[in-house]
Amino acid sequence: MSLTRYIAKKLVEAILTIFIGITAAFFLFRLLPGDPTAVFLDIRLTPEAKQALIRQFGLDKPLWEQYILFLINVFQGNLGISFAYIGTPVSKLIFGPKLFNTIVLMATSMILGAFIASILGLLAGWKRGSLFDRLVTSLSYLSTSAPIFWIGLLILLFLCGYLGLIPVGGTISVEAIHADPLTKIKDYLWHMIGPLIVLILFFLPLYLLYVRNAVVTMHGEDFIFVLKAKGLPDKHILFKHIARFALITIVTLLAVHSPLLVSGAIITETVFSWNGMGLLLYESVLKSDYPVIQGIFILTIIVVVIANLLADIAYAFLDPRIRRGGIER
Amino acid sequence: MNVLDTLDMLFHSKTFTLGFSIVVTVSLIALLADIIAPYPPLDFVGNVLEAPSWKHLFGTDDLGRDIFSMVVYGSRVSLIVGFLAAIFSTIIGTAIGITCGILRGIIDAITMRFIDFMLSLPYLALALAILAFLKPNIFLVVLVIVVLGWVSTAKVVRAQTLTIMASPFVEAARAIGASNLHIALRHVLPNAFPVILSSLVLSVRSAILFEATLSFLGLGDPALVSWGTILFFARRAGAFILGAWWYIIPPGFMIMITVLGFTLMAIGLDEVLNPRLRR
Repeated sequence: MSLTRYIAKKLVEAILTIFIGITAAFFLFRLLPGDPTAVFLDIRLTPEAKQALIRQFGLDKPLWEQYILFLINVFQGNLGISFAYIGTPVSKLIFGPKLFNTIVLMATSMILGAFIASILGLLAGWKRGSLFDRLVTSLSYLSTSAPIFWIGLLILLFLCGYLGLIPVGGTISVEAIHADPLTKIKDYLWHMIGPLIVLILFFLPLYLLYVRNAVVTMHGEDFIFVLKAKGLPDKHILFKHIARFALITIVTLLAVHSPLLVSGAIITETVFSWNGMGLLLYESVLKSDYPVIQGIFILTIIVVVIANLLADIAYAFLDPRIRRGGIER
Repeated sequence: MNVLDTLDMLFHSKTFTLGFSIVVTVSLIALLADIIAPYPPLDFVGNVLEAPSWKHLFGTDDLGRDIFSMVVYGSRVSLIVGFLAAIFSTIIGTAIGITCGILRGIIDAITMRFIDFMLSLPYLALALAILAFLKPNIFLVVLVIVVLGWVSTAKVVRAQTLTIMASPFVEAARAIGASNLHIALRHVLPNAFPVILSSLVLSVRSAILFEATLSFLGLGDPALVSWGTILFFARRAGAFILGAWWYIIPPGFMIMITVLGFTLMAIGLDEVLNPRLRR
């Protein structure tokens, strides 16, 4: 299979999965109590706005027509009107500062976590059985056993409660909202310290254990033996040749664990009141704001599927066996 | 390899034995909660936010309840949810995995596509969405964990079934006219047992973590106190600002140590039952 066909196949699969996801979201939220018509019980909505909603979502038409209209609306970015913030379109709530805050937080922690994990994992796997390896591995197992919300509470207890080094929560201080950009950025980063530490501690052990095990299994490979026989220094073999495989492991993991990304965001943002998508979802659940839950649900499915697609493509580029049309994963 | 030999090997593994001891200890705490806990978990028995003392080993919470008693009783909820959810998702996952692995064809293809779809779902978001619609109680929490949890077991068991189906003894059984059911029960199930067992242990581990997370987010059974619920109370009361470490550390530590126990058991099982990993 050529690379183009491989990517095309993955692309079709991805589109199909997104389609199934949106369909599931539509029917799930219709079967359960609290359909979009419930918004009409709200007296704050003007008759004109109600009429507009009925027309947009075809609420006076049979279910299958509603489903078609729903699909069209979703592709146009119309995700309905929030119950809790009356009159605010769901898309406006989602696409804005909240999405930005979540992306900044998750991307930073994932990149830092993956980077530190790669280095520690490479070293631990290379010196298998050493004190360093045993220490790093045991700490990783311990850390994957601790619930991340607890780690968050511990960090708040020590760094905020006792030492006063980080803020209680939120994304930006009230005083900093109208300050100059530099102060604003500084304040933002200061708020990010707590959630960032928690998320790094969440991702790091997962990646580390995988990288370590990948290095351990590679120890016996012929090409490592050849490289050693050529007289290359360990450092060169480890960081030039083995690191490449570790990278493949990490890329695959990033995709496989993308649902974890969502849970990580929900929990961490809730603990630190970080004004992002995770907190929005949690608050919407507490307020039974179904359209928002549905919107975030669709968005996360799309993000997860795209992450998997990108990983599949990256995988093909990193692993020459797939690129040259050999094996299929 | 019979059961006794396997057990003997398992208890020679330090990792497994350590994990097993932790799990047994926590289970004993849960069983003997009525004897160990000095107070009923939800009674107001002391002052507000008392630091630990001999009277209240882990101090009291913001309503004057004894945190030690809450933690002791909390082990019941965590273990019941963990075991129930794990047993059901393992049974369902095993049944579906073996069926797909033996039948193959269109049913298998559709099921696997569905499993891949389930695995790519943001499961915490989905669980929150479901629990937002329905009133949470302990069985609903178990149900949600089972609905989202059987897929990984099914995937692993199916892969194992495919390997077993390719072996000569299954071919021999087929040749003498054995039915699919006979092959499933007499050949596949016993040979896939190690995989099923370690998948069961891992399911308990993730079910306990998942229950703790849901309870921490305030979506657990409101009538019961689990370790996650205590931490939900602690966060709501602002225990970290008040410096009430006794409100935060014990319940979280219990979750961590219990989950670690199951993790160690799973690692030990893999070492012993998966000869390729044995060094």
